[in-house]
Amino acid sequence: MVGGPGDAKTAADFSWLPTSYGLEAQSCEKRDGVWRVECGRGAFAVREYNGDDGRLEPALDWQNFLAAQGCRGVPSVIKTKGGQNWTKYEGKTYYVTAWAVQQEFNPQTGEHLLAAVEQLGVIHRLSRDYSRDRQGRLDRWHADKLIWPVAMQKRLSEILGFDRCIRSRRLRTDFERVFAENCRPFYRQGQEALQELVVGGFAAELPENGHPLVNSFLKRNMGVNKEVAVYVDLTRWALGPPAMDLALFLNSFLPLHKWDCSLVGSLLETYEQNNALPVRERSLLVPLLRFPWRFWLYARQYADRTENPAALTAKLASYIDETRWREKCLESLDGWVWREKR
Amino acid sequence: MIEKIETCELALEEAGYPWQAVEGDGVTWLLLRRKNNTAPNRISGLDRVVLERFTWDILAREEKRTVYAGSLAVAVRYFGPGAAEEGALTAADEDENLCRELFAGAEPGGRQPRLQTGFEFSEEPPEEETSFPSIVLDAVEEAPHSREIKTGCGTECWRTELVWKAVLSGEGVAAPPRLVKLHLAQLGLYTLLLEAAIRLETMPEQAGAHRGGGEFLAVPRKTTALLLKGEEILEVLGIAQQRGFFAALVDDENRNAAITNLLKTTLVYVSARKGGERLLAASHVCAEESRLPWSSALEFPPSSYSCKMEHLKTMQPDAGRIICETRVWRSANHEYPPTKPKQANTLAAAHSKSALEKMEVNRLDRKKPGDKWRKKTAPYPVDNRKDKLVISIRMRHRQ
Repeated sequence: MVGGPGDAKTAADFSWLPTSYGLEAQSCEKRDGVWRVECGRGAFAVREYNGDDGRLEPALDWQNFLAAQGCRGVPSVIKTKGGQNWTKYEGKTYYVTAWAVQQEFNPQTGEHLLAAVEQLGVIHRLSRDYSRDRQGRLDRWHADKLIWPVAMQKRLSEILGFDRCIRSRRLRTDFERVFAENCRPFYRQGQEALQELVVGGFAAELPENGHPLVNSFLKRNMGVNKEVAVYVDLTRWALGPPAMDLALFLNSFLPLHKWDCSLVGSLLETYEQNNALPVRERSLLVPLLRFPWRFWLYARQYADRTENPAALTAKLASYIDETRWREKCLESLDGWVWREKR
Repeated sequence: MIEKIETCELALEEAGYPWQAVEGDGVTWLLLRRKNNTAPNRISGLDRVVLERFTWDILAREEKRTVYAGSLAVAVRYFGPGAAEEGALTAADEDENLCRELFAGAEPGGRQPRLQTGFEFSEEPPEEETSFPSIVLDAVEEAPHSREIKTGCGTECWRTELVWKAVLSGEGVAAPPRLVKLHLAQLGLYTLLLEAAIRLETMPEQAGAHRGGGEFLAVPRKTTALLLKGEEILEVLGIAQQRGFFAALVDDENRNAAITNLLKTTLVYVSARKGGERLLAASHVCAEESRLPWSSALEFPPSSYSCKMEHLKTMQPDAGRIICETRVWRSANHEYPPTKPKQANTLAAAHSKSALEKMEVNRLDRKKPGDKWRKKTAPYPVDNRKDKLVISIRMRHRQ
């Protein structure tokens, strides 16, 4: 959604800043697709938004709400002179936030992960209040709900379909060989996840009374400022139970730590210190972690030829290793959920 | 005399597990296959294959069929996970986030994404050379100290025994089975594939010598080009031919007889393509016709037909084409068993009599309605009408 303007911009290219925001750009620099613009009043992040404008307004409103509630994990949105959260210039949509990143987010260090999960807990806790306050405004986003078990089952069907497709002839590449070799265990994992989801009472739609979620944990959209993790882009938000965010966060960064059980335990503990999860949501976490999302993704990318097969084979092999570590870790998580139930 | 070159386009046969048999006249190829999954331990390379034992026995022998049973014990040495390098740990944030986006759609609340139940390739991916190793070995002698194989540092050993049974059809003396090729390959991260090709054959016999009666006539030499599209043949192991569905059409006017039959030609070969099964079979079925000169014996349909194929030459001009030159010896046999008509008549009469008796018994067993209430002491044969008691009752009228 956030696309970088051309890399060759100078401060003069931000001539719209003084008129819209009353900010005078002195210098600018592009970092991870975002312009860091130095003004007399400090550094600001200028982001171009390429998505649906209708989604931008609630995202920035939510971000402002969190910042106003004292959440240090999101930068506050700078309003235009007219009191708007964003502005249009030459047909493009921009919004400006305070520059909040002092240090790059490094998911290889446990400290950064703990800091990120701490702020995630804070965001989720405060978001409940936001949902209560803005119930009417969020209702329209609840309208077209996704029936998760059905959608997940379709993903599994696609995995089987791909497997049948490549087995109907001789295997052509190493990707197909590795996929065919591992399809059954991954399909079983998917079925197991679905069963857990249904047993946990999530047979219907997931975003039941959902709250806004960060829904994106790209390393480039995260940073650290004085040992506090910062989420700099909330425009990919979605509605749903917080376990969805937690699952995405863990699936994104725990492979780097070989799904270290003690680290996962610490992360969950830190999260729950800031936002205690009801047992029902805890039981949702395990199936969301277990479902073979990327196994499906790589097959799709291979079939669409959007990625190089050799690179996909390496990714798939790495994912298979990860899954082994993850399953060991999930065994301990199963116990964690059960203990809480008692 | 050399006839024109006939072209046969072969179709690859599906590789069967745990065995695939290719039967021909006088030769049978048995392709044994076994997979071993080493998960969760990755395979990082292949070391070697040691043949520990190859034994066989003849279970039964008929005039034209020999049934074999045997076993093949092999030790496979490969490099285990100790020597394997695990891929560098990488963050999965980009891919995981992409999964979430594609799954839930861009809309908050998650609009139902467009999902398809099937799976279609936008374009078939091109074939790529595999990075997984593959070793093809010629028939290896039994290792004298094979039982002493010890796994070295980082190497693992997979011992397996492939038990087999096979039927060899054809005239002649059965030769000892031969283990012709062994193939070991890594398929994927955890899978080892072992293939073995065993050849069973009858000893070459003098052409024309025949025990079943009839006269063998050589059909002129035939040169056939066997084409196998989309495949690279590394080595031809053998060609098996099987004939069936014989029929004869005699032409009294032209004084000849056309013998037609179906012919299945199967090529057993080593594929040059790594990354899967490499000891493979490809076959082609076609109709075959040959003309025999008229003889008085052809006044009646032959009792059986015989064919013997003689391979004269096999060449491989390129990776997907085999040229083979063959000569076929054909015969139509006219010896009907039993040969003496008198004996046949006696047999037929005996057969008819026994059948009639059987029918009689069946008829006697059947009870008449009301039989149950009749006098048991005086049974009468139901079907012999001469002995049937006839009761006449004279009615008198009183005046």
